[in-house]
Amino acid sequence: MSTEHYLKNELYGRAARDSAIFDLLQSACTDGIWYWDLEKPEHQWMSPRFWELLGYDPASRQHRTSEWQGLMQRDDLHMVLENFDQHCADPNRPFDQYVRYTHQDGSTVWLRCRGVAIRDAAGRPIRMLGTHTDVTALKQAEEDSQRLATQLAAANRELEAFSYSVSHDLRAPLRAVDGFSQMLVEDCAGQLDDDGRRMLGLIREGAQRMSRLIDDLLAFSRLGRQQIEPVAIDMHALAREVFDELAAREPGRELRLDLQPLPPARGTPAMLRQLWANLIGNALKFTKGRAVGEIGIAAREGEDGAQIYSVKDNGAGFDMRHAGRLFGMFQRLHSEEDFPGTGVGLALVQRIVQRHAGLVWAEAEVGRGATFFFMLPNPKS
Amino acid sequence: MSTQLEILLVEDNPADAELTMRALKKRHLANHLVHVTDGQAALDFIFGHGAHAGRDVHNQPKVVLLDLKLPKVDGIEVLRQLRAEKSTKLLPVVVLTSSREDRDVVETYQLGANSYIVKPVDFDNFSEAVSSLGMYWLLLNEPPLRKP
Repeated sequence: MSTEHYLKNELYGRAARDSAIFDLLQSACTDGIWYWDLEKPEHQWMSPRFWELLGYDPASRQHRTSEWQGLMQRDDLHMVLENFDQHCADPNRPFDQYVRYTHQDGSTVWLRCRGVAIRDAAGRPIRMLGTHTDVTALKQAEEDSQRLATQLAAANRELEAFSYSVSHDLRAPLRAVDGFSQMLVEDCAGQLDDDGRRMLGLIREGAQRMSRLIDDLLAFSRLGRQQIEPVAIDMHALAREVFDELAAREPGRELRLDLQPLPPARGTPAMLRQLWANLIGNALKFTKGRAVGEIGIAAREGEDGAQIYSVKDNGAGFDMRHAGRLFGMFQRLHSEEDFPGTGVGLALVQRIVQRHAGLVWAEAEVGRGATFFFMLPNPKS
Repeated sequence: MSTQLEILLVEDNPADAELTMRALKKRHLANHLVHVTDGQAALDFIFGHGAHAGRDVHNQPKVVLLDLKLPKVDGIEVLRQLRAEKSTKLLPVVVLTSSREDRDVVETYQLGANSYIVKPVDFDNFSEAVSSLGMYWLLLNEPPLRKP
């Protein structure tokens, strides 16, 4: 007695008696169907869809095995026949593989060809029923993806070679400029007047500034090439560590840190460390003029569990009208004399935050300090 | 009795070579210094081949200052060959180079360099680095191989 749903039983029963049922199913099905007489292997019935997938008019084809064997690509045919032998010998070995056919228009069609042998009472395979599923689009996408991955790898290697060259070759002439300027000052002190010494000083400064620019550019480009391996990050500990490290480099200064509890984030540790270093470094830099440098680091929750971290300082601040230029490459809102810097730091911050699918922005008032905010998405999402 | 050779400077860039030697001279560390300008010459000198055939190869430098980017044979290959020979396996080699690229640093250490210094652009820093190097390797450090 069957435990199947009564409608299923009815459908199966009808299909056995009424060919219209199977006709409908077969024409609606996107797969091609084949039914093979293994006792007379030259004979095989192929559904109209079978031929349509290969670009042929079904009416023009005969129901013979030789009709399709010539259309399957050589290597695949070899594999298919081997699998067929194995399946016939052992029903537990599935007959299921991806094969390539040549379409009528000359293009390649990828088909998933699978089937099952029907055996007689003695277990001998006498018929085989199977289907062809067109997976060309899927395979094409796979190939495209592979090709792009290869191209990307090649592009990255080129960029690495370029950076390597920059790192090595641009610094050497700068060393010469700086070095020989200094030697000139040392060796020819007697023949140089104040102005001469001043000009040589400017030459040296130029060389050193260029060196810093090169370093920053390289750091920026290296960032773009890194893969993001997100892990859980203790932001509180990280911010504390970075602050301590940076503050230790300025032992003479009076600094006050107000570090609030910070929720953990998900991201790449090296990048987030760089992010804190740039923001805290800026806070330290722009509060140089204050008797006591006050830095406040805090966090609040945003929408959908996002976290908004902030770094606030009581430093020089900036004019909000120019805020749009803050994160541009080499953009500075203060002169080099007032506060040294290459103008890459915040561009790097923005790049890091963007790579973590976040946002960064700032609020400030001239002479009253600045607060930099960065939002990172919910670490659990 | 031949005077103990102290430094072999392998540097192809004439400006860098001049700056290095000047910095060493300032601290009186350049008295027994030999300067070669490519990797092949460095190997020929150390092993007494080619242009330096007949040199007393027992008189090895106390330290080799080796740039990585060299013509003919590059610094990495020079290091590799020095480390491959029993007689020079322990010879102190300080890589003094422009590159800060990670792969250079790692490969250099893996091949057995004793130290990796990036040449600073700022001359004061460069001068300081070179003279510290010189002081350390020539005066402070105990050499691995005693003179016979």
